[in-house]
Amino acid sequence: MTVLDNGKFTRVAVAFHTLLAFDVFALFFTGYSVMFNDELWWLLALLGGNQAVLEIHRLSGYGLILLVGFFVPLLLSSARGRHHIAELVPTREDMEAGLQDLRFALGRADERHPNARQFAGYSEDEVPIITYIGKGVAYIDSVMLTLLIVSGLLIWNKTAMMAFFQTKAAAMAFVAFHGLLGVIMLMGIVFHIFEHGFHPAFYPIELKAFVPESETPGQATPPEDERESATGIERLQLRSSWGWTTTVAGAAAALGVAGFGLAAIFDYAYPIPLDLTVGGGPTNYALAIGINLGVLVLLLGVVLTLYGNLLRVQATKREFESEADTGADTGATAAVDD
Amino acid sequence: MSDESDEASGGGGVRLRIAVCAVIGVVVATGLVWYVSGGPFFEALPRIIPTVEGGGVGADWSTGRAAPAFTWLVLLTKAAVAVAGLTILYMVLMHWMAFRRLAARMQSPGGGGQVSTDGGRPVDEGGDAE
Repeated sequence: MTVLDNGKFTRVAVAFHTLLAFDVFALFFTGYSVMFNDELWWLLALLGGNQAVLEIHRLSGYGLILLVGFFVPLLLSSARGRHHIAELVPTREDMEAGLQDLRFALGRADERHPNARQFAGYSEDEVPIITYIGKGVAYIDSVMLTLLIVSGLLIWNKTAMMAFFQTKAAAMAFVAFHGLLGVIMLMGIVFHIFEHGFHPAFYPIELKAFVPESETPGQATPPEDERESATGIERLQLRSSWGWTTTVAGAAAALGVAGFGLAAIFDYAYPIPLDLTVGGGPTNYALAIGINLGVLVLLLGVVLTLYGNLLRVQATKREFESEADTGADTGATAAVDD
Repeated sequence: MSDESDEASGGGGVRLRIAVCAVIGVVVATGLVWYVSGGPFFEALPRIIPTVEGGGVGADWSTGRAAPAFTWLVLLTKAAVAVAGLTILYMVLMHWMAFRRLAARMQSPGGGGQVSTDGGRPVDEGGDAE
C-alpha cells in the first residue's frame, strides 16, 4: 500500500491555485515577450502583436488583483487560514531541513528532513503542513505579488503616472523595475514546476494542489514495522519515462533560470536607452536558447496545470462511482484499489 | 463542500464568506484600476507643446533619461535578481539530485502496476522485483 501525501488544499484553494496559475502564465508570456523581445519575438507575434499583448497583460493584471483581493480576505477571515499563516513562521527545523536536503542530495543523509518532505508517508501530525520551501514560496510570493501589483498599477497609465512622478523617465524606471521584479517571480515559478512535476513518486504531477482534501482518497498508512524506510517509497514503481523527461526538464529549468537571470541583469532598461526598448547586454544565441528554455518550462506548467485538473475530474468521478458501488461510506481503500 | 465546513465558522458561513470575499476582490481590483486610470474612463490626451524648450513632446525624454534615485533602485533590483537567481538555481539542482536519489529507491519500471499520480496503487504483493 502506498502512502500518499495528504490533500492539503480546500476546494476554494484548488480553484484559486489553478486560476492564479493561468493568470500568472498569461502575465509572464505577454510581459516577457515585450521585455525580452530580442529573444521571444515569436511569442509576441503568436499572442497577437504589440497592442494585443499589452491588452492581455492589463486584463490579466486586473485578474491578478481580483484573485489576490479575493483570497487574502478569505484566508484572514477563516480560523484555519489564520492558523496556516501562523504556521508560516520559520523555525530552526526549517534551517535544518534546508541543510539536510543538501546532505541528502549529496548522499550524506538517508532521508529528507520531515520539514522538507513532499512524499510524506507520515501522519499529518508528524510532518508539518508546510515544507520549508513552501514557507519560502509563501513569503517570496507575498512580497513579489505586492511589489508587482503596486509597480504594475503605477505604470498602468503613463499619463496618470505623471501625477505621481514628474517625468516620463520616472515612469520608465518603474517599467524596468516591474519587469525585473517579475523575473524573480518567473525563476521561482520555473523551480516550482520542476519541484512538483518531477518528484519521482508523484511524476508527472503532484496532485495535492489539484484534488481537494475532501476528495483525496483515504490513506492506509502501513504500520511502522512493515515499512523498509520512513516513507515507504521503495514500494512504489517508477514510471519508465521519468528518467529522460527529468533530465530534459531539469536542464531546461536550470538553463531557463540562468537565461532569464542573466538577461535581466545585463540587458539595460535604465538609464533609458534612446530607442526605449529593453536591450543591449549579451544578445546572442546562447541567451536566446536559455530564455526560450525557460519559456518551455512555463509552457510545461500550463500543460501540467491542465492535466492536474483533468485528474481531479477523474478522481471525483471514481470517488462517485465507488460510492455508488458500495452504497456506503467507502473508507480508506476503495478509491485507491480500483 | 464538507471540506470547508470543518473550518471554524461552520458550513453556512463559509459560502457567505466566499461570496463576500469575491465581492471584495472585484471591488479592490476594479477600484484600483479605475483609480490609476484617472477616475471615470474618458479619453484624455496629453497636450502638445511642440518644442523641447517649451517642455513639449519628447522634451522629458531628452532631459530626463536618468535620475540617480531610480538608477539605484533599478541596480538594487538587479542585485535582488542575481541573489534570487543563484538561490533558485541551487534549489533546482539540489532537488534534481535529491529526486534522482529517491528514484533510485523505487521499483524499476515495467513490473506492471501503476502508481503515483492516479492516486496510488499497491505494487503487486510479492513483486519484490529488483
